[in-house]
Amino acid sequence: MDSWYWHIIFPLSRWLHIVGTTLLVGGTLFYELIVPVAIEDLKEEQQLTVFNRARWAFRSVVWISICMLVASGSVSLWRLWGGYHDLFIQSRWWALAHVAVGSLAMLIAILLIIRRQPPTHPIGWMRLNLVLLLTAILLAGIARHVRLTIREELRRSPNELSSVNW
Amino acid sequence: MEAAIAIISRWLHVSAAAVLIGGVFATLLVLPAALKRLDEPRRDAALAGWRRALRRTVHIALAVLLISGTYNTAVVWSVYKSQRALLHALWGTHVLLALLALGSALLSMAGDAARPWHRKWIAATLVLLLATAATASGTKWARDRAQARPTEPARIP
Repeated sequence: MDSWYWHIIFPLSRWLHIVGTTLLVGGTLFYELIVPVAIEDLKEEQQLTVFNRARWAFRSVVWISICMLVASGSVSLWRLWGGYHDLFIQSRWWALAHVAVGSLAMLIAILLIIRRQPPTHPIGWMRLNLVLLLTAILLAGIARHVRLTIREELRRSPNELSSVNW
Repeated sequence: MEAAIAIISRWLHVSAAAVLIGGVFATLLVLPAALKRLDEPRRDAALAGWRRALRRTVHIALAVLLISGTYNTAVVWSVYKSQRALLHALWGTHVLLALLALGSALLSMAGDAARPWHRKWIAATLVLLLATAATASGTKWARDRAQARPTEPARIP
């Protein structure tokens, strides 16, 4: 993994994962918190028009960010797969929980935009999705922290280092 | 306890960045499409409401980013100190771009009425924020690599 191209691919993939997350989380928050405040003075009919047009414009953003998240997440998972079965086994469950919660959030996002008509309670679904997305970020942070802690402990005990493929 | 604070601080940093970048992105690309069919007075009113709501969110996100970013840096400062090239090339660029992006975000959200250059400011802010995220990814990658290398005892030539 020391070839020059991995030093481009891995940071790029991490960046794409962050950008995909920001578009999805920020977009969801924007729907839940900002749009209702912005259009509260409009008539109900106009509010529905704004909501539907925003939903239509947001559709491509959701698809693009989900593609980015799945592709970059797969690259990271592939990079760490060996470690999750060996050194970083303790962080594996956190990483799997991150994948599961993140996948559920992406599925809800797709279900919200795929139909022609919006769901019955769009704000409620958005709120649930926002909580799931923030939980997925937290789980990723915990998985990373556990991994780095194990690595740091191994670094301090050189006897165990000979078998580690860095 | 320290581990919990480090995890929460990182979570807050990523979540606040997500809120900020997503909000700016939505303002630049989703908002014009959403308000397209409204007549001008209503569009202006909705835009002013939007800016008010977004400004509150942006201010909170900026405060969270600054506090959590300072804490995160303090936690790994020893690594940065031992890797001066990393500190100057990546972390320094990240902080510089972040400060520029924060200033740009504050300026573009100032006032209820959108100025004529509003869209250009928002676009510049988005580019700066994305560049900041890119340098953060690079810094993290380089730092992880630096931490992963086993420490070797010094050898006398």
